[in-house]
Amino acid sequence: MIARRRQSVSRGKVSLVTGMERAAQIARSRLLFAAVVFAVGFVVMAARVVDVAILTDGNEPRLARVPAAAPLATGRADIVDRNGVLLATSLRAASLYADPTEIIDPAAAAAQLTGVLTDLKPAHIAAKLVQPKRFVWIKRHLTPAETFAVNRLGIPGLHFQTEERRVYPHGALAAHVTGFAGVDDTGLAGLEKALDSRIRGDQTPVRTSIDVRLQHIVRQEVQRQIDDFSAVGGVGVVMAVDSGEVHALVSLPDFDANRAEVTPPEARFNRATLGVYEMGSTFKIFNTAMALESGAVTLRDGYDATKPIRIARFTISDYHAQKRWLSVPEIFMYSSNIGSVKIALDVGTEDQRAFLARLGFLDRLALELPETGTPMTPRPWRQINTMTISYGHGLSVTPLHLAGAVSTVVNGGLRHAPTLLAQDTPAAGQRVFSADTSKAMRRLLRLVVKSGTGRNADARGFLVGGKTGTAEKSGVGGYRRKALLSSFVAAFPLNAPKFVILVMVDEPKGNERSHGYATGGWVAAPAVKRIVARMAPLYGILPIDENAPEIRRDLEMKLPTPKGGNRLASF
Amino acid sequence: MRRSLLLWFGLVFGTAVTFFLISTDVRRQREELADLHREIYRHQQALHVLKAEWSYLNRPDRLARLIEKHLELTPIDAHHLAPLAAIPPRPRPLAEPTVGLVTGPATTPTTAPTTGAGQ
Repeated sequence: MIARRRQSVSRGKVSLVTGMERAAQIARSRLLFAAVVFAVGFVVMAARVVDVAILTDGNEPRLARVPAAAPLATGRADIVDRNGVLLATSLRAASLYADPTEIIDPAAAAAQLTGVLTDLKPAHIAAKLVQPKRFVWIKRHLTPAETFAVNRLGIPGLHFQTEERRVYPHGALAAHVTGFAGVDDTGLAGLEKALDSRIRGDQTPVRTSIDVRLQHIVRQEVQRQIDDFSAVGGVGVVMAVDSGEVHALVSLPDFDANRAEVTPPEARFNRATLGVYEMGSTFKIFNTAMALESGAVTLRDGYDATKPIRIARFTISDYHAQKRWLSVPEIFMYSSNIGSVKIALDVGTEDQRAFLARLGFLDRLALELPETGTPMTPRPWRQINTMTISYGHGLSVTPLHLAGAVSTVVNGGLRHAPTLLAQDTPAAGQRVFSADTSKAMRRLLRLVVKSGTGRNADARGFLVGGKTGTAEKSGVGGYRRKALLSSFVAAFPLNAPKFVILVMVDEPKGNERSHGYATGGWVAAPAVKRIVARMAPLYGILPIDENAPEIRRDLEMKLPTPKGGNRLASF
Repeated sequence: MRRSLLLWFGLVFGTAVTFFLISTDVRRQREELADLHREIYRHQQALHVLKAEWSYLNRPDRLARLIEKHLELTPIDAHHLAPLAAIPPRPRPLAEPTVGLVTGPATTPTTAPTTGAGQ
């Protein structure tokens, strides 16, 4: 073709035929070009179709994926006990409101409504229904039965709005632990307040360390002592010694968490974590432990306890006065104030303060609750304070401070901070006492229950050891003889301690069965005994033979006498 | 020529109908799915309420009251419990008269009764 074109150019003439030919040629070549372009396009598309339909399945799954059903979301996460029992949850509830402009006969409507919702006053409702508004709440959070009844009235102008309502199925049982949330779903007390942002933000339930079964047992037994001794209140705490988990935390009187807003403030006061008290003789546990740990005394030492100690305007005397030389174990067993003061003076003010600080007694209680008490410590810390603190006066702490410190003494000397959240792997403790001191203290605690002031706590076969405490409550112008704070703090089973139990009864009055006594040994110790007996089967703790040789070797104690000979305290 | 045209038309028509059917089917299934999701949500809600009710009905004091009323059970005492290891071994059964004694005087009767321990 090129040759021919050259030919025609060289000839110098332009013929019509060659012109048409050229046009046809151009058209054909353009057609060809277009055909090639389209063919390539179709081939690419076909290849893509084959690729997408047959070869590739990475992006297109064989089965269509659709988002799963939206999980049920509530405004606040559940709170459960250590075994998953529901303590607090959010349920949807209908709230009733009215549009007064739609109400035809306000008086009749109010009468009908209050016939169904009996807790409302007709005059009050009628006043609401004539207000010049488009929206008034009649009642928040109706029960399904109430909703049905209101619907059945068929009054125009009444409407429901679904809201969430916090529900506490166990009512008062764990009310001081869970606390409660208000009508607009914000935590106002307890864990609900302390963990408010966590509870709002995360749907997974908060698992507490509380065991509802044990909580029930402790509450029942403390309530029984309050009733028996006409007391004004009480505290019961059970703590696992190796993790610091609080398995039961009872403060009586308590309140129904579902109706928290209408309960008196004194019922909402958490005595176990917020109230600070001079705990009395239970402090001799720490006094003796720190003396043994610092090497100031040994179990073979003793002190003259014949005469009361007079210092400044105080006289320190013994409640169970023996009026003779007492060995260190006897001082503990008979709860001698005189002996304890002398031990404390040998330990010294600085060491006493340091030990109490390491046991957590000088800092605000660290617990996952907003209601935590700050100890009342002496300032300045004089010798007289050292003396009174040795038997538990002059330093006010919360009952949970005490339970935590007793755990530290009996568990081998490691301090675990008390916690209300279940711990899957307990944090490592800080060493406060040596294992030897802890072992000696277990012998002493056993001695108190075996033959001292705590005999009423001796649950057979469970090796209970503990210490009584009977403190006079301070009032205006000094201590009040008749207002006592009677407590018993115990650990069991003492051969390998698992739990510390604290029972405290506020202002008990002696009764006939206790021969008029209202001391810790009569008021609190029996409750501890019953709690031990009832909780042991729950935790698979079996009674053991208390007279087995290895138990006697570990827990028996020989009482030294001033003449150097030994006298067996028990058996 | 005309036959192939018919074939193409048939193909186009058939594809259109198939696509239409598929799309209506997808729409129907999608609605069904949404219904299922709604139902799951309702069930979850019911479950949530039932869980709260279960916890409410299992209040320890209520259970104690019901047991006291309807059952003849007393609270368990730990002294009623024992670990498996505490159970004494099964007492040795008394030696049964063995076959050897009966079959005849040929075997010595003195050795036979002592082998009962294995059973």
